Amino acid sequence: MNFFSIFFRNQDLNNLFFHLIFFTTISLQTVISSQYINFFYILGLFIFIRADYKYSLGLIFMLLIYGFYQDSLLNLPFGSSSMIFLYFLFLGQISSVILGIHSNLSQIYIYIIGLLFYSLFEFLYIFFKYNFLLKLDFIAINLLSSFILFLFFTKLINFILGKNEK
Amino acid sequence: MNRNRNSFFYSLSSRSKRLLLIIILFFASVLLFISNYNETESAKRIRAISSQYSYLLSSTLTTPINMLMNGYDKIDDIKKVYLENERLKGNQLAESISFQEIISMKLKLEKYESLLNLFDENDYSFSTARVISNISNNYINTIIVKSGSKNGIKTGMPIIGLKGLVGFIDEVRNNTSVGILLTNINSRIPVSISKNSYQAIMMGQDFNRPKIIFAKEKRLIKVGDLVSTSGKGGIYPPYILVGKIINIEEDNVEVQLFEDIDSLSHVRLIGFNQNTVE
Repeated sequence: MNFFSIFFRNQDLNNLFFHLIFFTTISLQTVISSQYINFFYILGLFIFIRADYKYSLGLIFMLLIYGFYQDSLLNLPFGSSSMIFLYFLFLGQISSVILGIHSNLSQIYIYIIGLLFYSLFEFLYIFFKYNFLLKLDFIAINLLSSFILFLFFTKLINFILGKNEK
Repeated sequence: MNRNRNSFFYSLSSRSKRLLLIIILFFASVLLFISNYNETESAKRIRAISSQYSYLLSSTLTTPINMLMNGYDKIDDIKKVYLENERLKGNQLAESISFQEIISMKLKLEKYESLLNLFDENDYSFSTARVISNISNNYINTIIVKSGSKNGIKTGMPIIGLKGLVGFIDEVRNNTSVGILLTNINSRIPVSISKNSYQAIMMGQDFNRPKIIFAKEKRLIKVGDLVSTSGKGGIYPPYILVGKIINIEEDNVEVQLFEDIDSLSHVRLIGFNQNTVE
């Protein structure tokens, strides 16, 4: 059970819900910008939460297409967004294999470690390509906001699941 | 052989299949990212077509949010206009005197230039374009304007707002163009600082104010000094206002831009003929 499958019992509706939220979030990057929220982290979080046992092979290809859509939209080099999306999907898959689907609190450690690796890669890439040091306080704020969002989703899932059980 | 390969894939459990596929596609994306494919002509062609449809799709999807944000900005603008109007009423007399002074200085300048037989450096054309999106995160600071090669836009054209320089055109498509903003970490502009014309390079720093690098007379720069384009390198015309020095801390000199980059709705693209990249 994950965030994208708590609202609807039908699997197709769950998938549609995920795709709608994911696609809208990518598109929102053209109108909303904030130094406190890194959209890449949030999209990564969505994928990480979605990566349970039940997703189909189609999702992997869809993430690849979403990656190209984001690259076109933000004028990024082709392949960069797909690489990040698939990285989070891999991370989510590994996490659910090792820890199981319901261990939300343990999953957060894997998510944070994964994010740290990604931030380190981003930091080094920007430094070597543009000779520019990204501000560590902004990275920390972005990590913190993603962490809070993760906790929020976890609490929401537990709340809705608890309500359904009653 | 082919059959064996297929049977190997089908013999895997569904979880392993997914993992294998993720790994294969991940490395394919890495290869695409690190290869020089993005620099090739075919990649540029694909990007030009795909981005056009991507923007169409994204603008349709984000219309309600965009309308809400625009509405809020409009209300804020009206408030600003009202306050500005009140201020201008109070300063009407002083403003009219300043205006007279500016006109007389301009006339004098034109006279001196004709006496010195100087050629007209301000021989460039403007074209106004609407900003259709402003994308900013940690290191991407770009705008997309609704003018492209069909409107005569060329790579390298400087972009200016109402108050000063904003950036330059990096990529031109049929109907749209991508501009790199001054805050982008990829932006390096030759500037001239203060009335003493200290030559330097201004570099973007993502969400922070741009900073001055490679200035010979860095210790002579003071807070409040005006920063304008120097025209060196031939990409930007000279004397376009950029901002003013706002903060000096040891080796770190920061510039406050005159233009509010976050609230751009329309910009002007300068047709600086002799220097735009063909």
